[in-house]
This record gives sequence, C-alpha cells and structure tokens, in this order.
Amino acid sequence: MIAFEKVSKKFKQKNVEIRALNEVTLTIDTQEVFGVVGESGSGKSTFLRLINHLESPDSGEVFVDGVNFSLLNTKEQRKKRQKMGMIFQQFNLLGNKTVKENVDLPLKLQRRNEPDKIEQMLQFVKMAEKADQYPSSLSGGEKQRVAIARALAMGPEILLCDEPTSALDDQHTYEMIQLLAEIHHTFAATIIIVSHELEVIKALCNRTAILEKGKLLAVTSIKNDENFTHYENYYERVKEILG
Amino acid sequence: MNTYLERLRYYQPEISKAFLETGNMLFFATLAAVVIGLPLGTLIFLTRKNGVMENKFFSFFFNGYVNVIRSFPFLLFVVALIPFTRFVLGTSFGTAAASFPLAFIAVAIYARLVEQTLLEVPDEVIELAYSLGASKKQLVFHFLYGEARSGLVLSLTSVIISMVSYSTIMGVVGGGGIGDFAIRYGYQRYESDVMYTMIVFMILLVMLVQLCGTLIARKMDKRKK
Repeated sequence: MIAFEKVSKKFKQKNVEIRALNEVTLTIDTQEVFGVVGESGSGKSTFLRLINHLESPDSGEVFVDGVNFSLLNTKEQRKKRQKMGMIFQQFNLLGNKTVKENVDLPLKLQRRNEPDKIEQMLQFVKMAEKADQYPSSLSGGEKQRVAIARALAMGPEILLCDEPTSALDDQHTYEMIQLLAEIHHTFAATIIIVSHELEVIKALCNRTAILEKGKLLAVTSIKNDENFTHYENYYERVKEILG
Repeated sequence: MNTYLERLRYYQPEISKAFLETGNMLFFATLAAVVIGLPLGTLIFLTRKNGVMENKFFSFFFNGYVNVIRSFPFLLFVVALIPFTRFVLGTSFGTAAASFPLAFIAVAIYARLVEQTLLEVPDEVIELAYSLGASKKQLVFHFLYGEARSGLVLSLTSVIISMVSYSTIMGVVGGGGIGDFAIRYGYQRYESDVMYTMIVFMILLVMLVQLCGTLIARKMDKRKK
C-alpha cells in the first residue's frame, strides 16, 4: 500500500516559488491500477516522483508498504527504488545500448546475469526479434515497449508510469493500453499511471486522483470502459471505428 | 630536387629520432589526459551547481586548476614548472622532462572538454539512472560515459592535436621532437626545405589523428540512425 499524508512539495523557479503539491493525502491499495489526472503543471509528475523518492517531500510523509523513504539511508533508498519500475514519456532508453542491453541494465546494476529473464521480458513485450537493434531504429511504440521490458526486468512490485502514451500515436497508445492491462493481469503489480489522456485512465484504472495546481480535488472510482474492445490489428480497428 | 632528397636521406636518422620524441611526448600527455583529465572533468561535472554531487569547495578547486593552467602562457608555464619538474623527475632536461608540463596542459584541456561533453548528456539519462537505483559510480560508468563516449573520443582527439602543436616548443627544455628539429635545422641553419618538409609531416600527422578519432567516434555513436 502507498500512503500520502499531508504531502507538500515546492519548487523554486527563477526565484518564484511554485507549489507543486499542496497537502495531498490519499492511499493506493496493493495491486490497484491507480490513475492521476490533471492539466500540465498540476503536480502529477511530482506526485509520481515522490513515490520512488526521486523527489523528497518538503512536509508530510510518503509511505510505501509502511516504510517512510525519508528515514532510509541512501543505500536503502536505492535498494527500495530497485523494486519499483518506472516508465517515462520520452522512454529514456540509452541510445548507445542495444534493446537487449537496455533491458539488461537494471539487472547489471545489481550484478545479476540472467539472460533468460531478458529474453522472457522481450518476448512478453513482443520485441524479441529486435533484441540486437539500437533504439534509433525503433518506432515510438517499440521504444516504449522496450522501456516497459526494462522496468519489468526487476520484477517490480510497483510500476510507475509517467505519461506513458503521450508521445505515441493513436494505434501505439491503444497497444500500450493493452500491454499495461496484460502486465497487471500477469505480474499483479500495483500500477500508477499519470496521464492527461482521460481515455487511457478510463481504459485501465480502478480509481483516479484529480489534481489541480497541486491540490487534490478528488479521488473518484472509475467505471471501466466496457466498450474497450480488443482488435486483432490496426486494420480491424480502423474498419470498426470508421466503418 | 636531388640535393633535397639527399639532404632528407642525410637527416633521416635525426628525423626518425624526432618523430620518436614527439611520439613519446604525445603518449605521456595523452595518458595523463585519460587517467587524470577524465576523472577531473567528471568531478567538475558532478560537483557543479545543481550537479549530482554539488560541492562548492571542490568545484572551485577543480575549476581553478583548469582555469589557471589553461590561461598560463605555455612557454612561461614550462619554464615556471622547471623546479617542480626537477623535484619530481630528478632532471628538468630531456624528453621525459618535456612530457611533464605537457601532461599538465593535457589534463586541464581534456578535463574542461569532458565536462562540456557530459553537459550534453540529456537529463533523462541521469533521471533514469536514479530511478533504477544506480549508485554514483554506476551513474558515471554505465550511463554518462556510455552515452557520451563518442564525444569523449572526439575531445581526446582535439587534445592530442593540441599537444602536437604544444610539443613543438619543447626544444627549450631539450625535449626534442619534430618541431624542435624543424626550428634547429630549418630556421637556425636556413634549411627552409627541411623545415617545410617537417611542417608537412606534422600536418599529415594531425590529419591522421583526426581521421582516426572521427572514425572511432562515428563507429561508437549508435544514437542516430
């Protein structure tokens, strides 16, 4: 379980103080798929980065499975962070490493040599046949799938997704939604998705927090989109939607 | 033409020796650049304001070294360093003694270029390293150097080329080398053809170094299609 208790975070930008989060209190259950929506500048990304302590709160406390990150030493924080996968809007792949090496990265940092695991993750995101290619030769959707394989390589208990579909076109967004749903089904991880795209949140999440200028307006339950149909391929989907 | 070739043949042993001396000086200066300049540049990058290991004192100290050495007129630097060179190497004369001040310069120039190259690495790379729970050492070796490697090679190439130029005045402390040979025979003994030949050799040497550097950097860079 993840709990925010009166969490505030401020940033200074050119001597102007910006309240990124203002006394946010909420809880996210284990294995829940939780959404965070809001306009840009509402504090969504800060919210996510407080969970794995890439940012630390100015006041208030963040608990992950009962543990307050701020009370851990640097090494313990790193260990805890390694149990959380993170995917980014711009994918953040290393351009000088192959697909395989990118997925291997988190394992390598822990001096673990598990080629089978890499292969398995690449199979899962359907990127096994491009294992030896470099990210520059991949499409946006493919890059994000590699980034997901990398995030999954550690077997994370929590998957943090920062605008995972914002840089993708319509079809790749659709595929990403399918993939995230499959991840939840297969790995039973807690998934937190920050997005300004409401259809993504509607298709995937059980509940969502609505943020505005750093304030938590509400946490609402989502009626899952029953119309979210699975199509075999792009052609089938276009035919159905436009036909 | 015949006399020119004969003269070259006559000087050939001396020319070979000069090349060997230049090679020696370049080797030690480049070695110092890699072994000391690379970590120094990395530390300047890490300890800068808002850097990963922000530290005002170390940042000031490291930057100070680079700025002082780089702004020192080189010939005066070589002379000013003589007592220290003698203290460390036991002599202030010869190729080894000439490599010593060159190494200081190479370290300072490469450190600055390394810092600039690392500044070009996108913030996302550092963010990724953090999110994967990488230690600072892992951040440097797995992320920063990995992504900046072609820039680091090109910067080193520039340092080696600058060293070719700096090494030409090492005759003042008996360092020898191609430049010293060209001055002694071409300028002081009015054998201009020998001097121009040496200059052509140096241009070819620089072109070769640049070509190798560019090729290696291009081969290493997988970030673009």
